[in-house]
Amino acid sequence: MDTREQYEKIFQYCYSRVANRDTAEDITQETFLRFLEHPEYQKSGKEIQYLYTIARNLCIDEYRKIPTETLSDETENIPEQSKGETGWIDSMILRKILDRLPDEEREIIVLRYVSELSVSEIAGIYQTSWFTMSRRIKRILDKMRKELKEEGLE
Amino acid sequence: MSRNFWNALHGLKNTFPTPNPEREEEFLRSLPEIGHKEKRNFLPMLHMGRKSLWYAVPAVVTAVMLVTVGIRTYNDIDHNPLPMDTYPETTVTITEAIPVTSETDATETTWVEPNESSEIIDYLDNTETPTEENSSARSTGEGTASESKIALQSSSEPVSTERGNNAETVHTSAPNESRQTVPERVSTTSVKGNTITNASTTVSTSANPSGKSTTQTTKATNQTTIPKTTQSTKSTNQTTKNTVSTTTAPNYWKTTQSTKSTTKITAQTTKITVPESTEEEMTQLPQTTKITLTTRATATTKIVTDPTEPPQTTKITVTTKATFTTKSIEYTTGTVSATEALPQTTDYMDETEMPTDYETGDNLAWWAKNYYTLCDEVAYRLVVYDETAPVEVTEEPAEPTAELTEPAELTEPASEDGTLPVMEAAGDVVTATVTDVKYLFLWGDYSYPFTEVTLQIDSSLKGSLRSGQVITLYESGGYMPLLAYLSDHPDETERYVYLYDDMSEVSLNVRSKYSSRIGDRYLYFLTHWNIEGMKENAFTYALSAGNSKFTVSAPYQSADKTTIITQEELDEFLKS
Repeated sequence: MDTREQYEKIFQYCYSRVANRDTAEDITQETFLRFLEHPEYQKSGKEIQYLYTIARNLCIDEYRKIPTETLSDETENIPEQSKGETGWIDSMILRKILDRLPDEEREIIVLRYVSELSVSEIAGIYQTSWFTMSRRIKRILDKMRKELKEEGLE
Repeated sequence: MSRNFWNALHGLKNTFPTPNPEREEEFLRSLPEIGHKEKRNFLPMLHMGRKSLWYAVPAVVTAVMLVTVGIRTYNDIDHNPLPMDTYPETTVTITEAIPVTSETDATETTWVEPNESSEIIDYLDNTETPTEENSSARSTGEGTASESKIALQSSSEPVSTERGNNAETVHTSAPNESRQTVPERVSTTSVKGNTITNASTTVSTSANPSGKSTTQTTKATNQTTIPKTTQSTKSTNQTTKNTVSTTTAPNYWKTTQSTKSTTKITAQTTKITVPESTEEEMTQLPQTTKITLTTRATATTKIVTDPTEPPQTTKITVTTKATFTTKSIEYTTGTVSATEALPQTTDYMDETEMPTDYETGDNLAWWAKNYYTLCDEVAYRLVVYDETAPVEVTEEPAEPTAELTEPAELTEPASEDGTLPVMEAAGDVVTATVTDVKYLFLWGDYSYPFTEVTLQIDSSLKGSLRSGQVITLYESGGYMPLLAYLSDHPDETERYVYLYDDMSEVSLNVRSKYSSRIGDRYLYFLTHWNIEGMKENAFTYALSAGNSKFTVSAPYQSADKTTIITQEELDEFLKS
């Protein structure tokens, strides 16, 4: 497991949940620390799943403690080179659609396309089957595409 | 979904901020290498203090209780009468020993398929009475087919006695004419691992001259060869001719109350994993894939004939290996998969009948699911697939139209003016021959398979088609990738998820029983069916496949045998 790569992905996942950069960073580090407390996690073959499960639980704890800030205020933290990429505007429109999704649907999409987890790993986090999760992702994507059409992008 | 959407989706990551690089670097430097065995002392693990030894006390108590309960349960199981003990029995008693003078095959046990009425020979001694030396038994029966079905029964019969010079043979016959056919339940079944068990064991018992019952164990490994157990008997002279007691009863092997069997089944099969692929990736299946499924099953049977003697043990191991090839056909609407060999299989939806050929994924999956069900319940019906048997693809010949001349059960009467719904719906009426069949699969919101049938027109009775013209007929149903099916039928996943290394390469048979085969020749009632992405000038059935194609000679009978059109009715329709 590439710790550095996972650090960024966990951070982005946490950010999608708590919408605060510092808090997301705190949770990310706490996630790794808790993960390292348990050597059995590290040899289970499900390291990614454990990491995100820990992060998810920490985010839920945090979510209960503080009010969620608006996501749109944080765009200044996005790397400049990303803003110049083709399709970035489209992605931002999609991001707005994403933010309007229910929490769990948003989380699934973030896990799949931001954290780039496999469907199996996401299914493991949600303790469901691969097929159920695959089907669910498809439904959420259909929903997002429909909204994207209404935005005039499709 | 469009390219824009996917691009935006994959660019979603760029809309999220990245972590503070300095803070990230500082944290990562302080971290140990993940996967290290030792805990680092800086980790906040204070709350994870060592557990007291007192934790062990309830654990030990629980373990002792479980072991006690387990032993009691085991004892209960061991001494519970088996179901077969409750059924009537057949006994043969020899009261006097007879010197041996010759050897004959005296007892024959015949394999009987379940639910078939057969003749069972209880005890057959054509010339002599057996002695104590006649207890040897041998089992034969290896073959090439793939299924054996086992059922055990016992029977009870009133006594008839015949006395000879030195022997008295007592035969019993059934107390009444009706016998029950009840599959035997194997007394103890345990299965380990993700397995498929496909071995079966049959126990039968007949009496030997000493009055003790002798138990025979017969294994059956296939369908086409009837396993036969022969018991050699040595007898004296021919002064006594014993009565042959023949009983007609379906599907059982004899046994006695003293027989007790315990079967332990273990099996192994190929490791089953679910592939990681998304819908996008599923459309990029390899063109040709060879699939091999290997299953190994072991059945161990212990038979107790005398509590003072050790049980007889029989172990059967069967290995199954099935290989088939898939091919993919590129089509504008997506990747199309079909099995290269197209066996005539039981429809996957039919759970009432065990399929007898396993070349296709659906039946194998059915089989696996059925097996798991058996593990939870009682393993009285097991399947054997012999690895020595080639995977036979029994493509049935095109259904001869002559078969359709059987008496029909008419359910769709013609209207008062003689016009049937199929006539009203049809734009073209032709007689045609199926020259090619392709099984296709359409990706979409609701994935479904369909079949592209090439028809060569023999004669056109109505419409714009001409003799000799080749048209395309689309039928609903066919083969589709298992994963694609499951993507729209998530409730079915539990049924299939355990079997395959790569389920994306397995096609599912969802064909209609009226689907076309090469060589079919029918009178077709067709209508145009032009859909974007399909071939131009395509047709489909005016109604459904079953009631839109008819035999080519009068009286015309529909494929589903529900409708008959007379020559007069057809002529009248064509005139109109």
